[in-house]
Amino acid sequence: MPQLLEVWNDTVDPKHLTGGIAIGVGIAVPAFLISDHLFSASGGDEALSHSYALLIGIVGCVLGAVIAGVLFKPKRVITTSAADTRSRQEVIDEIVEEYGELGDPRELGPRAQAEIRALGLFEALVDNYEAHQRGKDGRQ
Amino acid sequence: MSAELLEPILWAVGMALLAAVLFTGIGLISGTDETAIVAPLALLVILIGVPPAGVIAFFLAAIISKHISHAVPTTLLGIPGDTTAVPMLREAQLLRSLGIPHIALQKAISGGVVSVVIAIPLSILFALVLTPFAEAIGAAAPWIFIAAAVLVAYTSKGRLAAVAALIPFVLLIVGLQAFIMEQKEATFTTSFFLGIATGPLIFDLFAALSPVGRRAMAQSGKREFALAPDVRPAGGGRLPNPFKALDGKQLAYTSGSAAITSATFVFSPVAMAVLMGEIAGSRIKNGYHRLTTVITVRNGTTESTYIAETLIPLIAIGLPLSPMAAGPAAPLFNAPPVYTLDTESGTSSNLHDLLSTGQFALFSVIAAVIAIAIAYPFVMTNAHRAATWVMRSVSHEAIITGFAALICVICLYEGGLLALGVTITVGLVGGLFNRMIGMHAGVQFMGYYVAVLTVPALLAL
Repeated sequence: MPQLLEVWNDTVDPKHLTGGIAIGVGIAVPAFLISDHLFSASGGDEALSHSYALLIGIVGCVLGAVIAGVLFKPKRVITTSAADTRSRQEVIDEIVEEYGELGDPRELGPRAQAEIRALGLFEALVDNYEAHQRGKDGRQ
Repeated sequence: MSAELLEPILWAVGMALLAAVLFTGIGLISGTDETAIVAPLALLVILIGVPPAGVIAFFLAAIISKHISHAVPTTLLGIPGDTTAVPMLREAQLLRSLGIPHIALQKAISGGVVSVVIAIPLSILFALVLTPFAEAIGAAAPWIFIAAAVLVAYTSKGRLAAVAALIPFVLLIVGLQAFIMEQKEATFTTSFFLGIATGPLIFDLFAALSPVGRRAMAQSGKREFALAPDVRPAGGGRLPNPFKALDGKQLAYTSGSAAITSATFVFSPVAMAVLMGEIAGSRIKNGYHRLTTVITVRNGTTESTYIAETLIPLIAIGLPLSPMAAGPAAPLFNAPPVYTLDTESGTSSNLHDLLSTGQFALFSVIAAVIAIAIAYPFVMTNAHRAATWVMRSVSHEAIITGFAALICVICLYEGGLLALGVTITVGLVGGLFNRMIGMHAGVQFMGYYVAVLTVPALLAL
């Protein structure tokens, strides 16, 4: 397997990266230079012809990126994590450990309560809250 | 409606549509930093000659739609969509582990929409309040910029190191400008901006070329990304109203922080997002409710800070006096030969002079309506599919290819090979400062203005 590198916050294959940049620059730069030359040779407003050449150069950039995208596939592994198989309470306990208690949903306004009910989390959060309260009372 | 207004309105509508579609897509790609992506594309739109109405609408629609769709990678993949998405990451991850990433996403983007609706009128109002002082601010600009540079540097990750590093960075720019002046009898702007904005990319490309750098960047294999399961309730075909997706408290906190951050336009958007989230969070006792409210408020703040920090300096002052205006919005203030800032007289010829406040208001509203109308429903209905497609089909090599080519073309356009050399120099040094001492692009943009505004003023003393 080729040595992968982390460049600009994601993984690339250095050979593909070099190839991609060569393609992109190799298309866009000549596209800009040639059209700049042709437009200014044909007379007319200089600033405007310079801008049109820029536009063609940009089309070259997009084209280069698309070609690189077709040639080189992403170096990412995507796992769609199936819904957690552990029990709801274990998952919530883990979150509570990291974040602090999630609280009693019964103390919330009607709209927030309805939201939690629709998510099917209401009973689980109530149970978790009560379990923690009991735990606290037990320690006291 | 008068005929003179019809044409600008059509430009605004067209450019806002283009930006909304483009940036809703770009926002899905994680790590697409605003400064590195929005600034070069805004610059491009200006240079190819789009009229002011189209430019402002393009820019606003771009940031509004990007800050809606950046919530997709943040909530579904657990990797920040861009710099301003970083403060939402913890809440997003916790809600994801709770099995409800779609709620994290829905809250975040609804907060964004609510915030846009509040920030646009308030930013314009605050700009009007500031306008009488514009002349005084303009006259003091060289000193305000150096104070701002030091403040922004000190609040960056680099702290004192970033403040001290302003000295070599400013001197580098002064030196390059003097050499360019000698060679071309002109100054460059774009190539400096581009170097600063894409510095981390340029630095990484150099590092990847060096055997020493390669060792540090090596990855043992493909990177794994865990996509949250698609848990949207079946049959939820109706599009939720963003105002109804939030409860009363969330609406109140989001509106409140949008109002506050519409006035605090001199502070960093990321810092404000963190702060507003902390303030709202500290006032909510229930843990679940705190999680959903903080993510709502934080994403709302990313919209309001970006809008206010663009519109207030643009309408009231005409100088890029906010971290945002000196960063992603920089081309709106200074993009020669189209928009110029005369550093000696402190006068400008940019969107500030070309549009009236009423026009700013009109085109901002057009941009906001179009950006929300495209980004919000798209993200609401396609988030999971779109995130999967981007991760599986868009290679990072292709993105870098596009940017490397864009840097070359824009530089050659501004000043041939010398401009390309300037971008590579500034990019390598800036990227090094960014990566190694935590001096982010915003500090470097301020450093650029210190070099062109404060240094001449100091020498004239």
